[in-house]
Amino acid sequence: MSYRTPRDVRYRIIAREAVVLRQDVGETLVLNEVGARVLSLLDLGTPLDQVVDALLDEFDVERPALQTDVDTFVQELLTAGILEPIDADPTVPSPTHAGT
Amino acid sequence: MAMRRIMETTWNDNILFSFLVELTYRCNLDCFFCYNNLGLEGRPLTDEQYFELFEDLAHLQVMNLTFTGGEPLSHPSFLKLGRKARDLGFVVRIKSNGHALRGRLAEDIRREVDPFLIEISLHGARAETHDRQTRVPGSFERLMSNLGELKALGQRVKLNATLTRWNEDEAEDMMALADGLGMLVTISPTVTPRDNGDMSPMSIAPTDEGIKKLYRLYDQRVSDAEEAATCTGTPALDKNCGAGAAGLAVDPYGSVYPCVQWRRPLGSLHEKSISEIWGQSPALAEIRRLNSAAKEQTLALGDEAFGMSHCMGLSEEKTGDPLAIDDEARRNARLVQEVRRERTLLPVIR
Repeated sequence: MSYRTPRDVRYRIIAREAVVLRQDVGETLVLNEVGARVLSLLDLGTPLDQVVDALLDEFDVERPALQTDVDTFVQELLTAGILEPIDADPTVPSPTHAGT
Repeated sequence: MAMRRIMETTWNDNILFSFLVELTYRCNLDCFFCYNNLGLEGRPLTDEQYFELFEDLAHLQVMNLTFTGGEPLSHPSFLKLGRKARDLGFVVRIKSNGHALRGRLAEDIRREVDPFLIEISLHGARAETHDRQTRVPGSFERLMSNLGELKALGQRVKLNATLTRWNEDEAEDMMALADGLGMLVTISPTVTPRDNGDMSPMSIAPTDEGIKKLYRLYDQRVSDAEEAATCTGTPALDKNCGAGAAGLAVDPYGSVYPCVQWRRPLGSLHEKSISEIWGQSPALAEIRRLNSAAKEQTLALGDEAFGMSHCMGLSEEKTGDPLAIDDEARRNARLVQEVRRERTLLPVIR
């Protein structure tokens, strides 16, 4: 499964954390380093299973626990309107987030 | 709190977070107190140079990109540049006089540039006051119509006013006007000289009583709870402001400055990339040193600094010394403190 940020979401990586703005509602939130990495990878079009693979290489954690945590986190991002499935509306391009 | 921590990090660790682009000094209004140096000459940046700049800024993880002027909408490539900024994921802000923000153009901007916020200048609550400042008859009436259109489009708008001798009796009415439109409004008590050193705008600076009335109005609008929330401890900032630390500005001819008010050149985009200027400019290193020194200086003032907003750019323009706290900053602090004393003398009735 692949995801992207919806059209109204803007984010940047500041000191390894992600500053995320949902423009439509004017809400800002900050994701920690791991959350920022997950968001960046997903927004680059990386499938979820490959995101988990990448994190296993970068962090000292067991796959089952990581898989559960990432699944939960992605659900939270979906609920918060920060992510959407990539086939949600293929006619609307997502903004590019360079350098992440 | 997390966002405050991020802001502190950008200031303290010199992480470029916000960038302001003066696209052009052309304007369709003729404001008496316009601060732009309209006589400035140079080679304007091309669209390609702007694209390169924006890509560099995105790579640097700059979040906020503000278009201003002059009137930024009068730049012939405004929509093209705005689209590029949006596509690169910036939080786009536009500072405009609002005169052209109507009809097709307003719709195109909303759809294609998708700005998070448009900040629009308001010069009074009555047509005669606003038009006296803009020197364009009918500009107030047109602005009111345009604000209605923007609201109908769902565009987030904030009104920016500068308190002057001409409009200081209308501060409350300007706030009511904004409230009626469902828009935020900020009224600044500071009139600034032009960027070429011309002090003539200061002739309409507000009176002491006008500024105190403004502060009393702000006092009424900020609830005790809000005040408590904003006053919970001094932010752990080691600089006076974000100039040259978390923000930069560029003029239409490619000269880069610490901020829109501090016109000390740091380099030219005709000669270097923004990444090179940000990472290597000796002038920028000096700006950051001064910024930290100004913070230490303010802290040393103790209670005297309450309500003081020391703008190093203004100080440098007025006195030649960015660390000199100019009379305007001292005056504003004195007036804030006087209003605060009035308030604390009153009994609290609940």
